[in-house]
Amino acid sequence: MKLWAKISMICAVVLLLIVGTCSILLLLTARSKILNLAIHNAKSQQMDLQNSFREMVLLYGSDDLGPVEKRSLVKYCFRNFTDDTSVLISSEDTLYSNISFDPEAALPLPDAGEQNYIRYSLDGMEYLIVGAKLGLYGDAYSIYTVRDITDVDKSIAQLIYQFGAISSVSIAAGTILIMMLMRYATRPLKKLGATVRRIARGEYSERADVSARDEVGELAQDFNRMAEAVEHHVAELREVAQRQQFFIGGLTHEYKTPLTSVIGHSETLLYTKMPQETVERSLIHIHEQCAHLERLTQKLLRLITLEEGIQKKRQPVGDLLEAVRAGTSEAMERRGIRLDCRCEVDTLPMDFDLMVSLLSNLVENAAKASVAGQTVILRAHDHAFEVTDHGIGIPEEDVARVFEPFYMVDKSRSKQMGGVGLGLALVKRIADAHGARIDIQSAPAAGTTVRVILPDDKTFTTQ
Amino acid sequence: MANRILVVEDESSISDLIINNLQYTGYEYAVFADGADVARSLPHDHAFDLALLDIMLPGMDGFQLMDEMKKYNIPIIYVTAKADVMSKIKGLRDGAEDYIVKPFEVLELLVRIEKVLDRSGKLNRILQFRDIAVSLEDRTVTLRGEKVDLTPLEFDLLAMLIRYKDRTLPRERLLNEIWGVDFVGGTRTVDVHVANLRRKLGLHESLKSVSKIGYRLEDA
Repeated sequence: MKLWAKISMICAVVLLLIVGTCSILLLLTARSKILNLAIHNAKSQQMDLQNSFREMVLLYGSDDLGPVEKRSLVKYCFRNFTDDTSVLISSEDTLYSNISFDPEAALPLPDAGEQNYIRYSLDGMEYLIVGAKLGLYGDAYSIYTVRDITDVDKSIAQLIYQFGAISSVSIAAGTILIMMLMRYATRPLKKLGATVRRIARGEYSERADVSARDEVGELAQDFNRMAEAVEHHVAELREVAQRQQFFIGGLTHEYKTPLTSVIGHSETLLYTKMPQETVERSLIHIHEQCAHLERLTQKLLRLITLEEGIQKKRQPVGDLLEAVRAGTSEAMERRGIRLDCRCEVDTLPMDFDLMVSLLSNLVENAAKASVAGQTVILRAHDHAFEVTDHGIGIPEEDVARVFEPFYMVDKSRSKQMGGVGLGLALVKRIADAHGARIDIQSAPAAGTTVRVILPDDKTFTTQ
Repeated sequence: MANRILVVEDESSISDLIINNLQYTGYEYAVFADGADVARSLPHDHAFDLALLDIMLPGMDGFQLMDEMKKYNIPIIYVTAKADVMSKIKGLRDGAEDYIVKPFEVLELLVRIEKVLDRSGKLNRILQFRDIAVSLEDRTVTLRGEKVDLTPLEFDLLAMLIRYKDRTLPRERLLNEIWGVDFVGGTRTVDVHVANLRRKLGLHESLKSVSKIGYRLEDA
């Protein structure tokens, strides 16, 4: 059941209870008021009758009247004031009555002249009997006023029906009104719900309306904060998955080309009788491609083992640059390029082996971009390393992408130089592991400077 | 007349592999490493019966080269490392005759080339091996001018052996190409047919068994 319907129902039940209780109380009060009024009226009517009758009898009668005359006089006088409700009973018999029963049986009167009354029901009828005894010329007379009050209960019953009808209508109308108000009041919740469903369907950029200044508005705000976090995480996960897919796609492609060459050339050698010269060329291809696969695997292993995290220690930078020079010297000599190392800092916090790998990659890249006779400068100062060459440079549109795995600015040139497209990806990963920033400044035909800026970690002390 | 094939492949070790085998099989060829170079040279030289195109190429990619090839009615086989279905569908829907994913078997590449050439009617219909002449048109074989009766399977086997003479043909490959992939008989079937060919055509010397692999028809 919807919240608005639930609240409406609760309100309707409460309304029903209140209206019902009020109605019943009201009806009970009304009934007793009407009865009291009827009793009061009947009493004064009886009193009037009794007084008028007594005065007339006293006016016309005397002590010396005989029983027959006295009876006639009393009857005559009483008749002057009677209506349907009046009853006159002497000590012997009923002198005047228009009603179907004997009121004396219902309300026996004591001798004293006190007025008495009783409510009396008979055959489904309700009566109010008021009576008093009166002594006249030595005889006692009971004077009654008997009123039919069946109508009082009837009109009360009628009132109950009327009240019932009015209450039902007003409760129904009230319930409908409450339902409408509740729907209106819970509309922000409904809208929030719709937003939640849209987000659940994957529209992570959806946001809830926070204009309401109540709990719903607060909920919407909290919800938006949650949606923000979810969207952020989802985007992050997506990016990671995409990067991974891109990496695996690149990797399969990079493996396929050398494998095709090795499989194809070996198959050809196995199944055909090529001239000696062709056989040798095929063997060279097989050898080169296997070497390429080996390099690719090495770099890949490096990348994978980097996942395990690094140990930073304060290390002498001079030794580091010497290690880079030693590791790259053979390749540099082959290309006829000089490496100029400038060390302007004592120690820096780093993982020594990984930093050697990073700088060697940068130096080799710089050498590949240069021509024989040029110099590559490797400089360490403050908390940064700089590798500068005066080679072919990187086109502006490619600078942002050079760190992507398998991205090569000039593929055929890079392959010729023995590149596998993972060098700078490795550099980036090592830099990230050190919390370092990489900055590339390059102009085509003028050269490139790659700057690796370590975090300015002044508080770092030797462990 | 030998068929002439255009090879566009930027990886030199693979273009070497392809052209070595094309040459060995008796095709003529022209090779390019850059897509844009191909587009520039086509107007001057476009007498090709088939093009083997890589997709990821410098200059102009394989898909872009499709339009250039269509201008000169050159059928295309893509030879690429792109194994994803979308690239395959794109290549074939755009009108490529075949799509071969690296790494491939050399003999399979050659057979596919042959099939495409056959479809476009550019394949040589007469095969010659010493004094044996095979006519693919009316499926007849003559030895020194005299007709020799061969069963259809023996004929197909002979045609394949002559076309790829001086190359070892593995039994499995022969079974696949001639008997079809769903053939349930073993490789012994190939041996029986080879024995028949040797007997009917006197090929005891030149149709050699290569132990554990298959057969080779030697011209030397």
